[in-house]
Amino acid sequence: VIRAAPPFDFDTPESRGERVQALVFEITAVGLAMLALWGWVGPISRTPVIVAPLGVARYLDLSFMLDARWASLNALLACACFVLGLSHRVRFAHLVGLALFHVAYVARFCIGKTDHRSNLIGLSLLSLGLAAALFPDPKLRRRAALGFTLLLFGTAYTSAAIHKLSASGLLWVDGRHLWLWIAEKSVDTMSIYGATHFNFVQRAVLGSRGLGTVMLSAGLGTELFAWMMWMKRPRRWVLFGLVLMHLGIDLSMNISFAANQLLLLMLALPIAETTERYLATKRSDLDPGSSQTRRSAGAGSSRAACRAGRYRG
Amino acid sequence: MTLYGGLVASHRGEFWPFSTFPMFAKAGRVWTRVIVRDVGDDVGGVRWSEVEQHAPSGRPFPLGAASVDQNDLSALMSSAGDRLDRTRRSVLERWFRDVRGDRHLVIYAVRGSLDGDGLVQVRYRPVALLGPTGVVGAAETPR
Repeated sequence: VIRAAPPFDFDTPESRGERVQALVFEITAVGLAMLALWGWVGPISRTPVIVAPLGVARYLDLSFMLDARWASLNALLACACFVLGLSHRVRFAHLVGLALFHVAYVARFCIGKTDHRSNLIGLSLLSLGLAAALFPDPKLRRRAALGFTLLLFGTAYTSAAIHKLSASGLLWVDGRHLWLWIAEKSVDTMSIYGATHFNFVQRAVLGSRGLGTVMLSAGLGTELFAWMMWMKRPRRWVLFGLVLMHLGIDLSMNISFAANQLLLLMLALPIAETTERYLATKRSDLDPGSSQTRRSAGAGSSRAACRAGRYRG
Repeated sequence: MTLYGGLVASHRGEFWPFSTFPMFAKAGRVWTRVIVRDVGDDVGGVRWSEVEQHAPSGRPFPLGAASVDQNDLSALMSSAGDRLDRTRRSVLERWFRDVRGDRHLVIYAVRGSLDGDGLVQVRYRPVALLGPTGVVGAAETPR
């Protein structure tokens, strides 16, 4: 079933550059997960009660996480699992780390709100964990991790666009809606820093409903077609488009999606190709005569073949 | 898909690793956030029962400097009534314990909406007072 899904490619040969890119992505996802985990410890342990039990917190009493020692121990264990997962010696390490990450996530959510950056981090960990658990072969594991990641990222963004259309219809893109969101986030900025100001993008949007409509339309379109990252040819452009969309959200609404952008960039940037070029250059630097030798040998063979041909003729 | 639906439904539409992103899905919806104002000793100058159109009295109290998360405070107080329940009171006590000192802080619920002409309207409603002696809801403040 997995082989039949569009983003999975188990058959084409794997280059060393692709292996490097897969590792870079894994390190990025794990690093962001660790940052999120430790970032949640403070707010969780500063809150005396579970404010609103959600998800598994409805069935499990997570109030023990409000103690900084337990929250820190959970973060520490999760980090240890992720490090083990990175070593690729323990198949289920990432999935166990993910379960602990989820406990911290739910505890954080139960005292208020967890920011959206954790969505793509969670999806990445889920992809890496599933791939490691299902595919012991290293090449298949890397390909499966990439496939699951693209499948989940594409689904997440496209479903976000579908939710917008189903909740608000095509009028979702009306520029006045962006005015309302800018006002909402400017209240947040005022609340956090004690002051607020509108940047040049916000000023331009607040002065032009049309520009707001264009920006929202571009964002919605980018999300709606995010599933196209499942296909190899348009993948890079779709991923870069999503990075730009997040930049637009940041500039217009002061909502940073740095973690999302970083993960998307780790998939979009030509790290594999650059690594291949670097390795090829290094190879020729180490063995400068090799290409000349090969050329001479080839020419020699040709000459020998010609001579043989003439001789036969 | 069943698992996805169950998880999203049990998390008010926002479940890691999936989300309906309710903030953005419903465009034009009325939103409520909070701000905190430092009114010093001038508690009597605060208008408790009114919804104001302009920035309320006092100086801004930046939550970032107090390590209080804006999203958490908004989630806690945006639906608060004039009287605080025990959970809200204890959470506010804890979050502001180290920064309250001798001053009086007023928490306002800020409500934003689009009017009939499509223009943004913002209104402020005081919901709680944090003073040196404790935390009280708007209806419990000294008049």
